Parts: sequence; C-alpha cells; structure tokens
Amino acid sequence: MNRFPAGGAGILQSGTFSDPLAFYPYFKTLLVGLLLGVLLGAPASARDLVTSRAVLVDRDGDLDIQAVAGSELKDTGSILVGGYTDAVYWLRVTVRAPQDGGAFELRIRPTFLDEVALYEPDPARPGAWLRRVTGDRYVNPDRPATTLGFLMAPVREETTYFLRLKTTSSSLLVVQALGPADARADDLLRELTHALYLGVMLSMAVLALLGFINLRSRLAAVYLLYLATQTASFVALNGYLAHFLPAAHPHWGDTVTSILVMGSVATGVLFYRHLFRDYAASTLGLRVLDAFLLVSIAELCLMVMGQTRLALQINGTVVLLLSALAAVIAPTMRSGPERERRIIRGLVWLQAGALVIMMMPLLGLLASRVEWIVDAPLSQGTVAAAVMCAILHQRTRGLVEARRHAEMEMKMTHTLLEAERKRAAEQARFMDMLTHELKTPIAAVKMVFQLPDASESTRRYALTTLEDMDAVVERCRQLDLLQQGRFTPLREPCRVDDLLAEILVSCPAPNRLRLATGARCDVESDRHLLKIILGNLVDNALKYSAPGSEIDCRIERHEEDGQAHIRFSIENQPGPAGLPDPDQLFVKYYRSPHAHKYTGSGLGLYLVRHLTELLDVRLSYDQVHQRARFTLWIPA
Amino acid sequence: MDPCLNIAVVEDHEALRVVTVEALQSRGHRVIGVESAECLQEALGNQSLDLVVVDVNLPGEDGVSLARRLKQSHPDLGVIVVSVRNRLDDKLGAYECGADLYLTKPVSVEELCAAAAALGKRLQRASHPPRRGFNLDLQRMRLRGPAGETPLTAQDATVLAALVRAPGHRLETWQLLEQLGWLDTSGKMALEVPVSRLRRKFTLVGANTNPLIAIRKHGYQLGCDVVID
Repeated sequence: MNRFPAGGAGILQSGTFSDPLAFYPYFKTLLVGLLLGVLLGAPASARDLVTSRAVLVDRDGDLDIQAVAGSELKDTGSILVGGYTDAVYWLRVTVRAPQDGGAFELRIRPTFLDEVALYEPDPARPGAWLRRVTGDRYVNPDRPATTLGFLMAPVREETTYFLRLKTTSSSLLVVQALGPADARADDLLRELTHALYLGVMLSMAVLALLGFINLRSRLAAVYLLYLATQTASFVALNGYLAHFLPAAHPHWGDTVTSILVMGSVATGVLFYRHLFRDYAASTLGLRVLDAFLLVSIAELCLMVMGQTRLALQINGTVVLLLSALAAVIAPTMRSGPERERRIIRGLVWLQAGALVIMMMPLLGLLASRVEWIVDAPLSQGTVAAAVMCAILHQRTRGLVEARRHAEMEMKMTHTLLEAERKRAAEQARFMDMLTHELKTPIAAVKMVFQLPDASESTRRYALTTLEDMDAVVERCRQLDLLQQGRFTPLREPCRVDDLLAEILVSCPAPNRLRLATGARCDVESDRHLLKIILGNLVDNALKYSAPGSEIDCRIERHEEDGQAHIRFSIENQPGPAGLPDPDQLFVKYYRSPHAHKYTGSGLGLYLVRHLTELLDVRLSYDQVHQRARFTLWIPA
Repeated sequence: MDPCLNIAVVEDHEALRVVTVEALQSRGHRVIGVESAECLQEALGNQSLDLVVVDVNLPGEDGVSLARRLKQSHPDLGVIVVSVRNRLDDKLGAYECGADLYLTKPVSVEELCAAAAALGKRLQRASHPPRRGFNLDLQRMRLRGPAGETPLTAQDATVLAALVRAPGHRLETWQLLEQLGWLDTSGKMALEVPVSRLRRKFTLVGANTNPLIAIRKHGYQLGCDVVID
C-alpha cells in the first residue's frame, strides 16, 4: 500500500516574544541544512549490477511466472511508475555477478510496497523458479535497514530475475543490485540523510513550540501537530517501523503507515484552514478546506471497510487539490499587513508547485528515469514543513509586530492617562490653594462690611487683604502665562535700579527698603519679566520679614571670568514664620506652615525660579546670620 | 439679653482674626485672639473660658485636635469650628472631636454672633452634675474633690489650669515658669513652692495619689483627672 507525506499546513513560530527575530539566523541555517539534506538525499546511484530492466503489466493479476517468462516484456528505465492500480506489475531484471563472484543485495524501494515476490532460477532444476516474498506486510528479518530486498548468490555471469509487484499503494518501484560494500555505503548515506531530515523537523518543532509558548498561537499548535504526524509518517514510510513490530503481526506496519499518511494530510489541511482564517481569506475557500477534513474522515471509513487502496488514492488526490486550492485561496487573504500577505502568498504558491511535482509520480502522472522521483514523495513532507515553517515565521513576525504596536499604543495611552492624572491632580491642588487662600480673606472682608462700627485699623486690614487677594489673582495669571509658554523673553536695554524704583512706587512700605545701588546697572534682558521677578522678590521680603524690620537691597556690577553681571540681592530678617525650608522654597504652592498669617498663593518664588531660567539669570538663596537672602546674577 | 461670654478666637489669618475678635467684642463678649493652639495655651493663664472659635488649618496642632483636647479639659466649653472645608467628612470629623458647631467660611458676622449667643445660653442653662475626680473652678478660684473643696491662690490656679489644658497634661518647666511670668526672674526651684502647695491641697480634697508628678529633666505631669468648670 502506498502512503506518502501530505502537503499540509504548518506553522513555525520563531523565537521568543521578546525578540522572535533573534531566531532568524537560526531559521536560515535550518533551511540551508534542509537543502543539503535534499541534495544528499538523492542517493548516489552507486555501482548498480543491474544491466537491463523490462516490465509487463498484468491487468487482471492472473499470470504466473511461467507465462510471464514466456511473454515479451517492454524495456523500461530504472524506475517503475504505475500509480494507484489494481494491476500487477512484473519486472524482469538482468544482473551481472560482482567481479569477486560473491553475494549481492537486490534492493527494492520504496519500503511501503505491500508485496514484492522474487522469482529466481532454480540452479538444481533448470527451467524451474524459486520464489521469495518481501513487503511491508511480511516479516523480513534479514532485509536491509532502509530498503526492501533480498540477499542473492549469483549463479552465473549474468542472471535474469523476475519481480512481481502487487500493492494497494502507488505502484512505484526501484530495483538495484549492489555488492555488500556498496549496499552498506548506500544504507549509511540514506540513514544519515534521514537523520538530517529528522533533525531539521525537530528544529522546526522547537521553533514552533517556542512560538506557541510565547504567543499562544493556535496556528503554531496546529503546526506542531502537523510536524508530529509528518515525522511519524516519514519514519514509517522509510521502513523503520517494520523493525519494531511484533513478528506475529507484520501487517500492523502497513495499517499504521496508511493512517499516519492520511493523518499528515489532514493536519496539513487544518494548518491552511487556520492560516487562511487568521488572514480573513475567502469564506468559500475555508468551507472547501472543511470539506477536505471531512474527506479525511471518509478515508478512514474506507480503510475500515477494506478499501485501503481507494482511500490512499483519494488521499493523494486531496494533496494535489489542496495545493491548487491553497494557491487560489492565498490571494483572497484580506487582513494583515500587505507585505506579510504577499510573502505568505508566494510561499503558498511555492509549496503548491513543489507538491504537485512531488506527488505526480505517486499518482502515476509522471515517469522519469531520475531516481529522485522515488524519494520525492518521502521528502516532500519535509519540504512542505519547511515552507510552512517559513509561513509560520511570517505569521509570527506579524503577530509580534502587532503586539509591539499594541504595547506601544498601550504605553502611549498610559502616558496620556498619567499626564491627564497629573493635570487633574495639579488642577485639584490649584483649586485647593485658591479656595483656601481666597475664602479666608473673603470671609474677613465680608465681616468688615457687616460691621457698621468697624475700627479704622480693621478697615485697613480689610484693604490689605483685598490687595493680597489681588496679588494672588495676578500670580495665577502669571502662572497660566508661564505654563502656556506665553512668556517669550525679549532682549532690550534696561536698568535694574529703574525697574526697582518702579516697583517701589506701588510698594505698600517702600521706606522699609534700604537700597544700595552701584553705578552702571544696565542689562540686556526682558524688561517685563525682570520686573515680575524683582517685584515678587520684594513682595516676598516685605510679607515674610519681621514686622517693621529693614530690608537690605543691593544692586552692583560684578565681573567674574570675564563675564559681567549685575548682582541684585535682597536680604531680610525672618518674621514669625521663621526661615523657609530651602528644599521647598521654590516648589509650587509651597507656603511655610507659619506663613498663613497673610493671604498668599505660594507661587511667587516658583515664578521667580522659572522666569530666571527663561532669562538665563542665575538665582540663589542662602541664609546669612539667620537672615534670608535671595541673589540674582543678571548678565550685563 | 445675650450672655457675656469669655471667648477665644484661634485663627492664623491675621485680618480674619482681628475682624472676628472685633465682631464678637461688638456684641459685649470678652474676646482674645490667638494664631495657634500653642499661643492659646500661653494666653489663657488662669482665665476661665466659655467658648472657643477655632479654625481648622492652624500652624502646629490643627483646630480639630485642639477642639478635642479642650473638650477633655473643659467639658462645658463651647466649641465653634470654622473652616473653608465644606465636605461632610470634614464636618463629621469635627463633630466627633467635640465641636458644637461647624461653620463654613465665609461666615457672616450675624451668623457667628448668633451661634455664639445660642451656645452661651445653652451652656448657662445646662446643669452641672457632680463629676468624679477633681474640678477646677477658675471663676471662684477653688479646687473641688471627693472630700470637699479648698481655695487656690492665683499661682496655684495658673499652674493647674495650664497642666489641665496642655497636650497629655504635661508641661516643661520653662512653660510653667512662663505661665507664671517667672521665666526671666526665677529658676525651676521656685516652682516647687506652688507645686508643693497644690499637692497638699489635692490631699485635702481627697487625692490618694501624687496629683503632680515630677518628670526628671523635663517638667510636670498631672496625675489625676481634673476638669475646668
């Protein structure tokens, strides 16, 4: 019976999620290994002792050896390609004896043939034939490791043998006669090639497993299933299963191999079903793939009913149809990046072409004298797996890219959310400040108006409170301008002492300032912003100094490292609130716990700090002999 | 006729404090204004107090904590809490700590004075059931206990009232000296005179344990329950 690997679908997940493409070089190595395997897998034709081959098709299967020996056979090439048929094939081979006259092996491939009978001349009875049988339904304890066959002893210089082939599988046959040394070399090369195939399959399984673990992709899971059935059927198709079956039930190998072959086709269909669904391909195409899955179930039913040959023939046809259908469905993929879809489409077409070429001999559609045809169906599963591996790789890249994109969007959303939270918290702090700092003075002013006989000092308090409230509102306006970036420094010539004089005009207690001004107070700076800075510093000193105490203010020119500065310093003795905390002094809304005696916003020094940064003015605060001193270095 | 009350206004905003004091004074009350709980301690001395108007946000000890402490030492004291905070949680918190009224800023003069008058009337009508422990009557300058009552000197009353009102009923030596106005003139040994006298008087009115416990290198702590009438 004939089975062969199915062109299924597969998935290869490459790499880990964190960097799936890190496996890319590994993936390339894997493909190179696969190609080498294919090259090595085309077995060297070695030194074949067969000198001629001829074939006879016994359509009814009722001819015996005597009839065939008396018939005229048609010369044929090294490979018999009969396809799925109920006919019996007779092959006549003429073999020359090895030069040393010793034994040789008559090697028959593929190994999944049901029954191959050998007829050899009986040296004791001229004209009579001896019959021996091999196949995957027979126990062959002395068969070669990787082929069917017989150990032969040459009778004369050239001997003619007849082989009768009857199988439920595709009637595909290659016969070689090799001396012992060549046979061992052939076995070794074939086993090495198979080991390489299995290694490649295992590597792809590892990659897929990693992808499955990292991305939980169903496509990767189906691909792993495909690899499992494909590898199992590969082992069975190459005759290894026969070595492990009980001698009493040699036919089990035939049944298991058939099931595995059909299973590998079904999992291949399943792979394409998931792939095309992920990329939103044509619904009709997906329904046809569903139908193929139902066909696989029907094939199993046919096997149970004893119609194994028909089931396998349908299975082979499904592979061909699947190749064609996948090539048609691939262009209908609608979702996913265009580049990714284009690559996957190309891979699907590549696989379809390879499958058609490789499946043709099994269906009897292609005859060739090239021996690779025998190995092609066996290795096509690996080729299919590799192509599917590439498809899976693309899919994984797409998924990883999508996830990266989603993660990036999530990060951006988080960032925006965090910014919004900060903005809301800032707004809440601002409102809290405004509520507390304005409601208290409003209460005071309101009570004054409700006291008809309020004293003069109380009325003055009310007036001062209103001025403080006005200052709070002005600070809030300045803060808003600063936060909106609407303070654009404009350099112009101005004098620091003139600015201070303007400030003192509207100052409530100008006589408390002890001013020391040097010559040449000219600076190039923004007049308006500089005035805000100086005004806030003066206001701060007046408000938080000891009541009635003097405030020292100095303006002097200072040269340092060839750079001229106007140094402005303002120094005061602290009031009841004490010296401020230097670490919090310039923090927005900060007010010393004991500074709430007067209305304030906690914004004055915050504005000073930011405006000095805008103007490239250096600002410092220090405590000198228990006095608070602010200093500005304004570039002259 | 509204009763004349002894009122303390505890408000850190100077203008509001001055105006509130003037508003309450205009209705015939005796009013002092202080900016913090600490200042209240210093300002009261042995004066009796009927009502306190306290802001919540104060430097140092906050207004709610002050209200709780004052209610413990002056169970008959009226407490009006004034704040910009108008959330229910804030109000409930203040009431749980002993506030009789919670007013939200800005408060009108009429409302504040009406609240003070209403609270004063209620406090005057309230009966004073005999309390366990000891009572300090600052108006009559007497100490009452389970075994009777005894007169106090002004110094005794000042020391005892300061300890009753202090956080944890504990004061440092310099704080007691300051209350007596002796900070610049006398050393801590001078305190022994009023303290010893107070201990004797506590014994006379029924104290079994040391009512004024000396804390080494610190000051004194009240060792029994005393409330101010």
